[in-house]
Amino acid sequence: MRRRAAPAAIAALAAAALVGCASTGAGSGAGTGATAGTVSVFAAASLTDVLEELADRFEAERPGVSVVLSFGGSSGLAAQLTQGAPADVFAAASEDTMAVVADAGLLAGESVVVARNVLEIAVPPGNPAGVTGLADLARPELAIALCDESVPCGAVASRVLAAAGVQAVPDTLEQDVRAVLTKVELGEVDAGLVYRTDVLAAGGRAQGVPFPEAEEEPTDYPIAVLDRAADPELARAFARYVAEDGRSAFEEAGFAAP
Amino acid sequence: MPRRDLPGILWLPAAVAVLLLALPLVALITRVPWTRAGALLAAPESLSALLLSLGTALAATAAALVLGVPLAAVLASSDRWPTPARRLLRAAVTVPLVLPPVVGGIALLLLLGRQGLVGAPLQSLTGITVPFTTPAVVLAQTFVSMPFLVLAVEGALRGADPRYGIVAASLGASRWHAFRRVTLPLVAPGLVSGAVLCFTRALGEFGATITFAGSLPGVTRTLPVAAYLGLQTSPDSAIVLALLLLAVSVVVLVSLRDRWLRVGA
Amino acid sequence: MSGLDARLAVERGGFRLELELVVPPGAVVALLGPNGAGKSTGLGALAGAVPLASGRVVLDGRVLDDVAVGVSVDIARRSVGWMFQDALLFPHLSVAENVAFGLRAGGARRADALRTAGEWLGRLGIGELAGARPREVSGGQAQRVALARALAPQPHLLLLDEPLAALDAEVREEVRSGLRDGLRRHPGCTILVTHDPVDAEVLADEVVVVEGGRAVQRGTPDALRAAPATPYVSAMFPG
Repeated sequence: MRRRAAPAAIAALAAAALVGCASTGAGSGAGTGATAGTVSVFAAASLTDVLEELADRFEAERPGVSVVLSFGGSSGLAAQLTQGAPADVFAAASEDTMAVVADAGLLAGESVVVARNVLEIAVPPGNPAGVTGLADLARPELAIALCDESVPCGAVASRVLAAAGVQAVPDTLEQDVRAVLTKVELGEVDAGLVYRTDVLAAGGRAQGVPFPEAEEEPTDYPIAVLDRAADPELARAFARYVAEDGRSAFEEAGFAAP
Repeated sequence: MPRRDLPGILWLPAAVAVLLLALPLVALITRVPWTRAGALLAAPESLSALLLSLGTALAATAAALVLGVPLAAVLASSDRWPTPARRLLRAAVTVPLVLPPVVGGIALLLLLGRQGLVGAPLQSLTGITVPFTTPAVVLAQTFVSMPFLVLAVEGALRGADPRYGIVAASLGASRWHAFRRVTLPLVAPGLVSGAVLCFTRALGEFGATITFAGSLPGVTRTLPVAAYLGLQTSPDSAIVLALLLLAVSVVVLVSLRDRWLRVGA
Repeated sequence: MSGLDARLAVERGGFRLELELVVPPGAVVALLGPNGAGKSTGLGALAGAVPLASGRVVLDGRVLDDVAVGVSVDIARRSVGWMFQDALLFPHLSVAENVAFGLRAGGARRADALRTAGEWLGRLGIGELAGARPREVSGGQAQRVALARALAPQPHLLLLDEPLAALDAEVREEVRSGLRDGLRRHPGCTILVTHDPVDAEVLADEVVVVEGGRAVQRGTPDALRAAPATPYVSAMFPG
C-alpha cells in the first residue's frame, strides 16, 4: 500500500515529518531485504497525475516497496528540503529550483531532466472573453491571473511576456499554478497563464489557448536523488524508472520529451 | 483570598504548553537577519503590504463593530426564541470560527464572485466586481474575524446586570438611548477586547484573503500573503515580514491591555 | 393630580398576585410581607416590566395599563421611578451625570440637567459628591445618589424595592432618615416594598400587608398593631 500525502505545503511538511519517523523506524529492516523499502518523493504539483501513475506501476513491479509522494509548489518544497525535511527524491518544476537544492549540497549525483512543459493560456469553458493570444493579457477590461514571479510558473510567464513585449495587467498574482487554474475554472478570471499539462488535467473545466511565444521558454522538470536518501539504491531505481519508463505517461499528460 | 497550591502534576504539561506556544516565536526571532532587516522592511513591497494590512484590518474591525455589536445584542437576547431559530443563528456565527479560512474564501467567491449567487447579478446590473479588490480583502477579513467580536460582546452582554437597563428605562430612556448610553458603556471592556481580537485576527488573515481577493501588490497583497510568497524565494524577507506581523499584534495587544488595566484600577 | 389607582392581577407559573392599591398624591404606601408574598412582582407590574393578567392601572388620570382594551404604556413613558436594593449607579458616569441621566433622557440640555442634578444632590445633603465616580462613594451614599437620580425627573410614581436591605445596620438608620427627607420633597405617590416594620413605621402613611399574593390587611401601623389580622401582622407589630 502506498500512502499519499496532502498537497498543501503545511500538510506536506507534517507528512514529511511523519514519513521521517516511519523511515527511521524501518531503516534497520531496509538493509536486509533488497526488494522491500520506502521511497519518499517531493514533487512539483504539476507532476501530480503522472507521478501517481508511475508510482503505482513501480510498486506493482516491486512487491513490498512503497512510494510516498508529497506534492507542492517546487520553491516551497525546495525551502523545506534546505530546512532538513526528509526525502529521498526531488522532482522540481524548474532547473532554478533544483539548483537551490544542488547549491545546498543536498544532491547525490546529477539531476536529470525528465519532461518539458510549455505555458498555455487557460480560459473558462467557451472562452467568454474571446482570448486568442498573449496580447489579450494586456486588455485592461479582462480579469487576468498569473503566478507570482517568485514561483517558477510566474518567472517563466514574466520572461515570455517580456520577450513578446506584452505589458500584462494581472488582477492577481497567485502562489502556484493550481491556484491560477482554480480561478479560471471558477470563472473568476477571463484568462490565466498555466502549463499546457494543467489545462489538460482540468478536463472540461477549462480550455487552452496555445500561443507560439510559449515555445521559446519551455520549462524543464529535473529529477534527482538526495544525498540523505535512506535507501539510495531504491531511490535511484525510482528516479531512473521515472526518467526512462515514464516517457509515455508524460506524453499522455501533455508533456513534451526533453 | 486563601487558596491551596496547585497540584504538582499540572506544572509539567503547563510548561510544555508554554514552550509549544513560545518556542516557535523564539526560533523566528533568532533567525531574523538583523543586519538586513531594516533594508528588507523598508522595501516598497514590505511597506505597501504593511499599510494595506493595517488599513484593511482597521476597516474590517470597524465593519465588525457596526454589524457585530447589534448581532451580539440579538444573540444575547435570543433565549426566548424557538430553539431551531436560535441554534441556526448561533451556528451562523460560530461556523466561520471553525471553518478553514480557505473554505470561507471559496464560499465568498461562490457568493460574490463573477459567477456568484449575488456577484453575477451585481456585475450585470452595476458593472461592479468584488474579487481581486481591496474591499474584497476587507470582506474576507470581516467574515473570518467578526465572530470573535460577536462572541466576546455577547458574553459581556450576558454578564451585565439587566437591572441597569430597567433603571435607565424607568428614568425615561428609550430602548436605543438606554442601549447606547448604559448597556454599551457597561460592556466596554468586552467590546474593546473583542475589537482587539477581531483586529489581530483580521491582520493575520491569509486563507480567505488569498482565495477570495487574490494577491496583487498594493491592492490585495497583505502582510501574511506577502510573507507566504516570500517563503518561496527569499526566506529572509518572509521571516522579517512575519516578525513585523508579530510585532504589530503584540504592540496592539499590550497597549490596549495596559489601557484597560489603568481604567479598571 | 389624582394619585395612583391600581387594580391588577399577575400570574407567574402557579403563583397569582391580586392587588388593589389607591395612593393619594404625596402619600407613601408600604407593601409589607414575608419573602415570596409577591411584593416585588407587584412593583414590577406597576413599573410595566411584568405583564398583567388582568386589571387596570391609572396614574394621575392617565391610563398606564388596561388589559381589557389592550393598553400597556412602555416603562420609559410611564413616569415611574424605580429604586432597587442595590444602588445600580451607572459606573461609567459621575454621580452628577447619574442624577442628570433621566433629565437628559427627557430632552434637557446637558448643562441644565447637570445644574438640576446638583440641586437635587444638595437637597439630599450629598452635594459634595457631584464630581465623584460611583466606585468612590460608600454604600449608603450610593443609595442616596440613587434616590436623587430617581427623584430628579419628578416621576408621578416612585417605586422603592427594599432600598435599605443591603445596607449595614449603622448606615441604614442614616439613609432611612435621608430617604424620609427625600420623600417629603416628592409630590408624587410612593410605594415602598419592605420586610422591615421599622421602615414602614418611619416612612409610610399606610401599610398594606401582603401574604400569599393577597393583601390581608391595610391601615396605619397603629391600626395594625391594635387589631392584627394574621399571625404575621401581629409578629411584625407586637402590641
